[in-house]
Amino acid sequence: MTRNYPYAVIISISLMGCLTEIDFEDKGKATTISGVLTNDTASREIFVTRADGISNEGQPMQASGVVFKNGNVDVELIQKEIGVLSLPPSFEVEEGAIYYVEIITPDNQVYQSIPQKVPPKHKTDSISFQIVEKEASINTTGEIVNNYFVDFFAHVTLPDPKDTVYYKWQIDQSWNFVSEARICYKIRNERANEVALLSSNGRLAGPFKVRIASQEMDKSFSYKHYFNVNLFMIDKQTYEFYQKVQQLVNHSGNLYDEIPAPFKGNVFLDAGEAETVLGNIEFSAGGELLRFPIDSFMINERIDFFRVCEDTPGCGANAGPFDPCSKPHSCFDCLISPLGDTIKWDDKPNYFVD
Amino acid sequence: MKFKPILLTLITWTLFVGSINAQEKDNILSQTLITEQFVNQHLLEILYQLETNYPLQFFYKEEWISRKLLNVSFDKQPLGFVLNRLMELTGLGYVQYDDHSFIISPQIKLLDLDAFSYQEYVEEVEALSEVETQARSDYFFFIGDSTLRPLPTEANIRGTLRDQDTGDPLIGGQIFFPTLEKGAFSNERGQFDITIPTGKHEAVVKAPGHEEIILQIVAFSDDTPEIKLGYTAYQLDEVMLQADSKGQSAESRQAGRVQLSMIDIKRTPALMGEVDIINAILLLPGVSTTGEASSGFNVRGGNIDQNLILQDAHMLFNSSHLLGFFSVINPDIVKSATLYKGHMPAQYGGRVSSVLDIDLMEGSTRTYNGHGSLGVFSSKFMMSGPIIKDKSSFVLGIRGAYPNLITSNLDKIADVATSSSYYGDITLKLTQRIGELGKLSLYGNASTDFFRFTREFGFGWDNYSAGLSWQQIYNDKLSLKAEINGSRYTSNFFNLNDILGASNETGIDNINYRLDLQYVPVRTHDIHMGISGTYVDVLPNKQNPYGANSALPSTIAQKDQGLEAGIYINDDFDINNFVSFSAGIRLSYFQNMGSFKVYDYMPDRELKFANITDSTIYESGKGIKNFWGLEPRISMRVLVDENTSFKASYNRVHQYIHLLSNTASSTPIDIWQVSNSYFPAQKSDNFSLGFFKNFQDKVWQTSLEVFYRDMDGLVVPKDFANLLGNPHIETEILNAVGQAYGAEVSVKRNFDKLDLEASFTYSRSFRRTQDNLEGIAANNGDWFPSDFDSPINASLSVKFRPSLTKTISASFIYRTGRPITVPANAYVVYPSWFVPSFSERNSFRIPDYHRLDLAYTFDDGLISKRKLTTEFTFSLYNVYARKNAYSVFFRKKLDFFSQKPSFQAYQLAILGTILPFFSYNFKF
Repeated sequence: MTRNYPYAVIISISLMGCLTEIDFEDKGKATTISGVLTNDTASREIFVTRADGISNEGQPMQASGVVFKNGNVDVELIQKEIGVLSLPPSFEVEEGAIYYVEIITPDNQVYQSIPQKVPPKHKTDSISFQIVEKEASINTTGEIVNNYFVDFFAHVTLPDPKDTVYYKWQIDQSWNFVSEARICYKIRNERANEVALLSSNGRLAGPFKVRIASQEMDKSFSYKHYFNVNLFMIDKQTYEFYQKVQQLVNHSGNLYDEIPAPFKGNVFLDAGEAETVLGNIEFSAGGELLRFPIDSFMINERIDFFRVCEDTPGCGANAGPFDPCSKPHSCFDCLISPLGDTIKWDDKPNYFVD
Repeated sequence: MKFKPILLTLITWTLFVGSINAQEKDNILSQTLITEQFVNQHLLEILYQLETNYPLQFFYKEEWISRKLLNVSFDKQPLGFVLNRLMELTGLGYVQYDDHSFIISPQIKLLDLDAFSYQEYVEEVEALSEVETQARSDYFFFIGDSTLRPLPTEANIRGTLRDQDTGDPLIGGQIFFPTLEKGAFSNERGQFDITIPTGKHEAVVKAPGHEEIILQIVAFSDDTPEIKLGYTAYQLDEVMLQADSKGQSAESRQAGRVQLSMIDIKRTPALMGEVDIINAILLLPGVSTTGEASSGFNVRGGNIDQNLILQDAHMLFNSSHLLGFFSVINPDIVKSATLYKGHMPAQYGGRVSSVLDIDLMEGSTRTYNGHGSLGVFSSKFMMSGPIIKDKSSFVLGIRGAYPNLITSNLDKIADVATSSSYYGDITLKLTQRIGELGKLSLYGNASTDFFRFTREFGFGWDNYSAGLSWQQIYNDKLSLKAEINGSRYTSNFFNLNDILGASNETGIDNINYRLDLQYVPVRTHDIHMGISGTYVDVLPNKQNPYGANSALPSTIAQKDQGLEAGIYINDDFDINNFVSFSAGIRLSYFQNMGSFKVYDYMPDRELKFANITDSTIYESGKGIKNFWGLEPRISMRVLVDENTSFKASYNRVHQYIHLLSNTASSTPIDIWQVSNSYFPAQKSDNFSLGFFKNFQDKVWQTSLEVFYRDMDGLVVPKDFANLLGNPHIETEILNAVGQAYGAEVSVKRNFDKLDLEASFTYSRSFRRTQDNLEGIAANNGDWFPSDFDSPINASLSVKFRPSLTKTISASFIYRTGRPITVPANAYVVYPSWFVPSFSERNSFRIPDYHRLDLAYTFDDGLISKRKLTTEFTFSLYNVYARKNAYSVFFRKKLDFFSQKPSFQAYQLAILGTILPFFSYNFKF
């Protein structure tokens, strides 16, 4: 009989005790030029930074730039702040037109993006959601903790297979609730927004359903939660670039991971020197926005954290242009919880329905 | 044939061996004074009392011991006197095995057991009651013609060592003349060659896994004797057996050939107490691995798919069980294992890096025996014996591991409880004698393996193989071996992640045949010639979406197949007593066959879907592309003296199959791919040069070897290659060349109670992609380290036997961390991604790996009161709890105050602590 210490010992020991931080020497610096130029006027900026290691996002760089349309200078980019260039509001991105960007840094280095054609617009037929229970985390005692999630789906009609199209959904979230006799408006940190990609390559024409977001139910669902779904049609190069980005972001580094590699976007140093320019400039047809509000009553039976505070300080006082006391009050502190960027009532997006 | 074993008079027998030859043994008998009084006690009680009160140990079979009650007392009497008196009273005899150990047996003429296995001894003693015959040590071998006058002063012995039961030649055996301080090793035909002065000499003859015997050789003139050794079921003293095991000797003709001893391997500290051939191979110089829990092994800078692993001539396509912690080779049924890491005889082909040739044992045609173990983690069982006595036999080996039975109940550790793993394999070999010199063997094997990590992903594989082998010896010059076998290997990777949910299946079918004719026209030539062939059918890689939320499409790659054939001739020959060669040539051919759709891509452009211009459909069985390869093989040995030699070798080998992987370590999801219109044939030119030197009568064996390997026809994955379920997999790879070079130093000490083995290897292994169309070359087309480039590999293994039944062993290994691609920079991709920018491929390394293991083994030796013998092993794995990196990965983290992101590297150690294991094995 072989009495071996069980396999579990190995795994549990490895899970609990053998993870240590190590450091690698940072290697070199690189220019990063990244942005989106689209006909959605809400997001048309280019960021120019100098990456210098893995411990930060890089340093913003002074830069100027122009946009070429079909080979001719079309518009000059406006420097909003150091390292941030934006398209003038009057600039219209046309479907089918070919664009590229030229960025000039103070040391007279000229960077150009590959000319790219703006793909035609497509639309999301509809969006839907589904509440599912799944693993959310593992607690300190090693137990799996399940929770409810809102899975969001986009429904599209895929074109004929010979006309491959590439979808990019960008989903941001916002929510509001009443706290201490005022309404809090919160927007999820931009960095936490989700991006979903879909290629019609290899798929049959017709209706197709794809999950584009999955959000664990938390306190942000206590009153009204908005999913704002933006669809951008991108070209193949940008689609593949984003795919690689997603692959790298999800890279766990173990032996079974695909081997990561340095990769280039569509921006190059014009002088043709062997400098690797990081980042990518997306030329896309956007502007389609679908907004989906989820009221707390739609999900209340699945959440146990929402509590109506009976005694609300300041209720009835002039806390705003309307009386929030007529609405159920949460016990959450507006500034602290739930997490998200608090925005003032005056600055709130107009889609909020209180 | 002039040689014949003649049983002579019992002159070497010693009755009541108080006169055992060693002086120190006499000292014990005369200097140990006994004062005891035994009243109405039988001998068992008396022996126990002596063992209790004095540093003595007695070995016997209980049924031999008389129950007669004795009344006897001793007052400061020498031990020799006491034993003689006790034997006299009971009609028994004794023999002194070592300083404090004595074997008690019926009163017969006993022999010096230094050279015999206990089982052999017991059988002989039992046989004596029926047949008045003699023990084996009194074999006198008359060599040559005694009528010659005058007698020559020297006799050249070109003998052959064979297995007593099967008649198989014994490779790596040894004949050694202690008084002459001369010896020789047997080659793959079991042949040895040595010149000794005429006259009478004592010779020690041994071979791995076989008994050791002492012969009294009387040499008159040159001769070609044949010596048969029996299989050792239980080894009394393994010191001598290890003399030539694991490693290379100065005498061996071939450079870079390593013969592994199973006895040696079984005493090596092992993870979970499980003996493992692949783990033992990793201690050899020139052999490395990408890390703990990784499949396969790398030899002299080669990929893992470049090793030809043969188990009784069956190709193994996956050598690892359970994430690479264990190998698929069941050590309980292995007779011998030989690794060719340098010179590859022309009989072997199809893999460019090395050959691991494993011979399974055959069952005894006379007695049943077996052993096994049962446990909460794993169990195994092996049994062998006759089907028809003296004609046919069987060997059956079964193993299984089922850790999920335990882990599934560990609710408190979620990742463990929801993970699952198991493996199992069963091997059966039947052998039928055909006449005196022929035999037929039937082999079958089934293996399975499964692993699932939580609810995220998992993989599994299955292998089924069967084969038939026929060996026929026609005369002392000619023998034939014909083999045909086939196997099906399938693997499956599944990802349970809902959006990426998919299962990926792949596999390979193959049918192999080989016809090998061995011809020995004169003693200085040993010629192998033959043909071999392999039909390979790669099962198409299929991807099926899993779950309702999967966004992945169903895909299926094309089925790919081919036929490989080879014709070869190889001659091991001696120019004179000092210079010998192993030279051969192999012509290999491979045809890629339909049905297959071959796509044409735009010339001078990157292979990608968008560049397809046309396609051609080939029907089933129709040839698509042919490959030819001429492969010269030569190895030379120059013996400076008996203890010093130089060896050099050159080989060219072709390989017509690739293992496609885009992970740092091989996994069951890797895809086999035959050479075709897009995948070239691999070619390797291997050079090696070695210096071998023995010291102190071969107590110390040292070697220094340097090697260089030049490879082309390799493929490496493109950056971000997508191999799974890809119907255009050729668009995901790059053609590449490779080179490897290094130096290997080995020092061994095999003597008495202490064995020591140390090796040090400095080697490098590089790859360079050749395609740079449209800027797709990896690392801009520069040389970069291969995934398993590990410049320094060192190991130290020590075994100490304080007594007959105890072994303490320790092993230490050190290797440079494997290359890794790490983030060099990080940046933001609008709008939300914080992205690592990775370095060039393999430009960093994970931390170095080192580990110390200890093992203590003890068994019940000769106190065999029943037919069941047992063995206990206690081992400590990773004694100083080194947290060796299994992998290095990166995680994004946010600064608490600024909420700014950054990346941090983490090192995960799987077995990062000391792990004790205890195993209990039984044999019957």
